[in-house]
Amino acid sequence: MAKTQADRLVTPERAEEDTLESSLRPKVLAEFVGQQQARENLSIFIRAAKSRQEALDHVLFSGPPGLGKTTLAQIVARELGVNFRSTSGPVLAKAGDLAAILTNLEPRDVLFIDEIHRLNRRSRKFSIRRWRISNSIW
Amino acid sequence: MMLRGHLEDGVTLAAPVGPEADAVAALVKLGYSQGIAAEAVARAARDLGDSNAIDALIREALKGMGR
Repeated sequence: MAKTQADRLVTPERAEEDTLESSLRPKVLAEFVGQQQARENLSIFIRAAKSRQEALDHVLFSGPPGLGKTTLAQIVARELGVNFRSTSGPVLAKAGDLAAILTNLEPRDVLFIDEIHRLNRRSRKFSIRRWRISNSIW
Repeated sequence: MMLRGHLEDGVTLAAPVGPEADAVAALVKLGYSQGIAAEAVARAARDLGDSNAIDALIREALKGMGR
């Protein structure tokens, strides 16, 4: 049976709840509830990187949906005071796609690659010498 | 030739030479098609003006495609 627009739970249009959902997301590490060990580690990493005025090293977040991997990545960018750029493994079909994104980053920006385990083999060979926060296993 | 009669008067297709040709080859190696790479490099060369070092051309072309 064909589903109508009203039956669909996910639509490309921005819904009222989306604004509410994004405003409820914690914006700084202190607001984030749970994942205490990860928070403590990240806090040290961020403070060290800020004090050295260097880019944070690559970070890999792994786990089932809903644990806060994306939220933590956004918090890292906010705490560091840099831009947050997000992409997805399957979107990076060729090495050039990743190169194009990396070329557009500012120094110390955070690049979040969701579903990095689905990254194309050719793109995988391409070296990322920027921030990489993964949403899954490399 | 397939393009004959399909181009407007005065439009010529010139193959890139020198650093531009090398930049196109580099982008093709990164997975872009010849046409898209040539177009991006031509646009980058226009934006950069006289400064047409190969690294600058590649960076500018990639920036254009990543926006």
